[in-house]
Amino acid sequence: MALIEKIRRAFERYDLVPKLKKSLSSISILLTIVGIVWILVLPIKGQFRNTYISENALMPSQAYSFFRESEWNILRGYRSEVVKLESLPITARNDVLEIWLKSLGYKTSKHQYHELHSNKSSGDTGENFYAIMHAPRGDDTEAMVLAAPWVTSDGEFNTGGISLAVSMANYFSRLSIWSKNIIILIPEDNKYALRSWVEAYHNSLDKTAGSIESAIVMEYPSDGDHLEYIEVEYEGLNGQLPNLDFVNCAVFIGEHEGFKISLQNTPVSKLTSNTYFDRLAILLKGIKNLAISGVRKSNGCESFSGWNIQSITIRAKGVNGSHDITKYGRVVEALFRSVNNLLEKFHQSFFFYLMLQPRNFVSIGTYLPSVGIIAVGFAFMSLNSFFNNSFTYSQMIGGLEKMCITFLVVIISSIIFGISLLVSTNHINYNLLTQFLISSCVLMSLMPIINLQTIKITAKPTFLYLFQSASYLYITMLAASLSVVHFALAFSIAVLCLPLLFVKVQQTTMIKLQPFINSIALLLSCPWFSIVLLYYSLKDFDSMSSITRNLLTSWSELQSWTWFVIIFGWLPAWLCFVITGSILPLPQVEHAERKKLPVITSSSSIKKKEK
Amino acid sequence: MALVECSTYDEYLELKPLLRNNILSSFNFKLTSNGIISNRTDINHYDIFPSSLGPLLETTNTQELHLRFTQGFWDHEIWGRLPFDGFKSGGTGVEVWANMNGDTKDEVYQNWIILANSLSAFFCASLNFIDSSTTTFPRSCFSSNSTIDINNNNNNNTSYLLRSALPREPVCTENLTPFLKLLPTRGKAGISSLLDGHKVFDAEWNSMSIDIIKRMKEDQTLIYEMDIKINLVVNIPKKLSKNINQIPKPIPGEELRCDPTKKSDIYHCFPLDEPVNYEWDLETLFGKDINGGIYISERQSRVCMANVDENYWKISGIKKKNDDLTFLEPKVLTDSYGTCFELEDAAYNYDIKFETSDSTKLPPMEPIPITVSRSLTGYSQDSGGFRTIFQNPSSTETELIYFETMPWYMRVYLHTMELTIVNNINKTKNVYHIINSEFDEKNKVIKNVYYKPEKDRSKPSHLELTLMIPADSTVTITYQFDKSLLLYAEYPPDANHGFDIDPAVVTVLDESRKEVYQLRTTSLLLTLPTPDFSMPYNVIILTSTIMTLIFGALFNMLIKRVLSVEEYDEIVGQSSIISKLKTRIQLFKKKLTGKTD
Repeated sequence: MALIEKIRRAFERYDLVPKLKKSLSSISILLTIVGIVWILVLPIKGQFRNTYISENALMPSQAYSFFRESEWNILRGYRSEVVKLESLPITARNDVLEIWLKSLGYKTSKHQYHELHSNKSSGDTGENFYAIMHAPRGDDTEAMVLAAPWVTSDGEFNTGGISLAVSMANYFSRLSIWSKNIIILIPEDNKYALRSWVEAYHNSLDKTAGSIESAIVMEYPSDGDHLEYIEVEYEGLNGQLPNLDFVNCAVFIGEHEGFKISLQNTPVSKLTSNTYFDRLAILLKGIKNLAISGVRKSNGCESFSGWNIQSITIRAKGVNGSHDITKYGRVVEALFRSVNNLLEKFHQSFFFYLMLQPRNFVSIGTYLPSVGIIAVGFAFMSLNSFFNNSFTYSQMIGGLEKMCITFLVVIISSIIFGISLLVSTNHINYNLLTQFLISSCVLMSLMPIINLQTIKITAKPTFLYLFQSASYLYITMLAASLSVVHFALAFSIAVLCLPLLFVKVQQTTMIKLQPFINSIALLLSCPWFSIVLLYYSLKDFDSMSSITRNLLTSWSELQSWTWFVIIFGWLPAWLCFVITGSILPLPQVEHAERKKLPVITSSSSIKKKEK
Repeated sequence: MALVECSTYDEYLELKPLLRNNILSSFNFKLTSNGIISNRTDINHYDIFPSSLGPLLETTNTQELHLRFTQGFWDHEIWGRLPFDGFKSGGTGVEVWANMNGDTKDEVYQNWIILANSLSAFFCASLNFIDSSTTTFPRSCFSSNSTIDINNNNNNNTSYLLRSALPREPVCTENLTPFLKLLPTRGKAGISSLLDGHKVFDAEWNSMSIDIIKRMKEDQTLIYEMDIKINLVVNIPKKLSKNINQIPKPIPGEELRCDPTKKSDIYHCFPLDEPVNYEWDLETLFGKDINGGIYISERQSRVCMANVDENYWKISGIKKKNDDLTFLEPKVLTDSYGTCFELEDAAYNYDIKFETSDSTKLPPMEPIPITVSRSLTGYSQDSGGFRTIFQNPSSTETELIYFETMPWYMRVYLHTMELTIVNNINKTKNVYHIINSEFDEKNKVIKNVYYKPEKDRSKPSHLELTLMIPADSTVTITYQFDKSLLLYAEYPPDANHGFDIDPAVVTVLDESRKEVYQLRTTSLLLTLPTPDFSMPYNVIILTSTIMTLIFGALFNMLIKRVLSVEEYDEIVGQSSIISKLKTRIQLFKKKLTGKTD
């Protein structure tokens, strides 16, 4: 208490409160810089940690793996047959697989699903194939999934993945070590088909094998025997990640087999270097990929998100490397054996983390403050809008009711707009929609200039300040509450909203540049502008309209709620700033009765100024 | 002595080849006790019947005791019907039910706990964890096997059926030894000499059962009948390769069996199906041969093989002593199926050799009346659902009793029960809600519902449904439940494993409502919200810190004087070093000048 008392006295003595009040906006900008620098500091040596296996039962690579020697012949035998399947329709392919796996003693089944947003020529139904091996002597309560989609995420025929999955099924059936059931799953693709199977498994499938503990998605489109390195993908939907122990196991086992591990699509040339910028690149790509999971092209493992299933995608890369394909199989085998060792579910290690290198990571406690600090920055800006103007406290509060109503109208209209798009996903022309969104974004961003020049909508300045204050507070709330469940999305939105700190209520006394600053800031932080940003920065998408399409369909297909975050949070916040940045304040008047006159004076004075 | 003549012992081993090169071995041991005098533990005489069990059953007033130890997944698609129509095999883990006499339910329950605790020690199983929260009183699923009502001597005595299951119990070698100890041969001679823990529990599926029934003979003497059965399914190719090499090394390239119709060269090999010609003997399966016959029983112990096509199968019994080998004469016995070999001589070792040129040539599989599978639905931490699928492959409707118990932390909402009936032939699908639907169609399927809700921490919920599954149909029953939070100390060790839910028991009835088949679903793994067990300590530390802070502030406020700022500044001014120095100097001056106030 004495300490607080001393601080209070110091504040009084040096008259700090007014000084602080005056510098609120600079403090806010300072805080946001600190927030961003915080992330940039993480890859510096000493700030991150080395990965370790937390659950002792996993024992990765402790058992000698026998997927080698003559197993390679079997793999090649299967592959020479898998190659022939490419030209067949899905159902015919699945029939062939059914015969193969049935002869191995697997319980096979097919899962029919309906496309929600069909753009396939083959019709709107699909078929996934799966086969269950009930562990001998097992209690039949838990299962591990090995999934190899017919088509990889790059759209190629998954020759290597499928043949490996079948030959591993053959190999697994001869081992007697299993305590958990094994499910070999061959979905039509790794996005909606896979997701619908996972959903059906937990709702409607007749043949099940207990709760799924882990899932590994295998992708290797080549029909060659030699590969260069393996890529591990782990991002789930809605900010979910597999347990760090599972990712670590994959990395440990992969490196034990002699592979270089690539995270976040690190190119092969960068796999050996571990500099600050390498780590930073993986960190930032990790944040980006997690933020847009569900929107970007599927990595496979994200389809298992949401049922407490630890899932990763292991993708083999290259065709002329020094590693043979059975090594890739051994990585998967060793992972299965590790999970098989578990008595408890994955619970020991981190569920929230950011990877810097295959063997380096930062945990949630280390990176979460950054978005918190940025959120506090926005809160300070909110205080700034409230206090740093020529109005008294009671004058400001006077417009509270009107402000609340406007705020609600903005939010509700944004939600109605978003939901109506969501329910009509099947009837939308996405090209047209994207064009509309982007042009509306540009048009509204230009509102500060247009309003100043031609329309001249005005409002009470107290209302504008109060409204802006509330809008900043809304962003604070959005970033802070979202950061708890989905750091990557919260951080990305907060950073993209940073230009909004420079949007100011236009004043007659202000510099002439302000409308332009407002416009640019609004444009940069518009949700739809980020579609353009994504398209040009990622090169993953064929067109901008595919981004819009994925944004809208990811809810019904994958239960990814990115769209809701946009229409409940980001879009209304941005619209609020369009309002505060464009509407001109009525000049200050002493008497509220003399409303009509100042309109003319204000506009004329502005005109004069501009001349 | 007359009493000694009463006790009998009989043992035999039945072998039945199954598809995909599996073989089912059933060990049967039947014991009857001497005549016993009820309610007297001191003067009864035991010879063959274990003396450890008799007094226990007497003191706890147990009329019937049934124990099941089972592990593994019964693959009905390939293995067909369960041995003994499923009446001798339990679900995963340990299951026990008993018919006990007593005046009141409480008295019976007390005896049940005594019985469970004693059995726990006998069978090295966690049966001592049986308490009221796992015990149910089944109504119709486990019908009594006693033929004679033993209650006639005491009218107040009523008979209660109690049942409990421990699905999490890993059945292992320590559970087999007690079984062998109950036998008069102690596993040293006769067919029980084959039973070795390592081999028994290496089987694909194994089940051990004990049924003890108190029965009144024609001459009005009471006896105990004990039936011990040990059933195993062994996969022959796996066993053969394991006997050669314990480690699953890859097959040498030259031994690969490749499909010649597909690409096949030194690099490529499309594997063929498993071979069908095998040769093995009992030693392959159990690691040793039979250590001679036994003299205790009236009948010789025997090994019987189910009838198989002699063109493809060759079975021969061997009797050996050192290097002396003689072939046994196969016999056809009236009370056993197939070909039998009698083990006549205790001085010899016996082995049975099997040779098959096509192991798929088996008598047609008897149809299974019903298949049942059960799974959990939903994914949240606070609620979930049950989904049970009954598939009737036959063209007649099948009546069955579905018995299910759920632990108290699953709060079942029976009103959410939904019934989906799919006809497998014309693919029509109908969904009925248990409350809202028209009763006609639904009542055709659900004949009767008996439900006893759970009580927190003391009673499981107990559901018995009498169902009539239409011909060629699949009936799916779903219902929802909530998961409750456990107290900190109620979580079992390895809490993050999840909680095992008892297998459900399905008893199939025929037209005369006689039980004809019994099967159990697999157990399920339920995840409850599980705390991070280090969290309470963090919470304790945090709350203590906050409490200390609050106390400190409060204590400060209570004992400190309240001053205005001016007063404070004055005091601070006085107490500073300079002002103290000033007063000192003034005092000194006064001393020097000698003036006094």
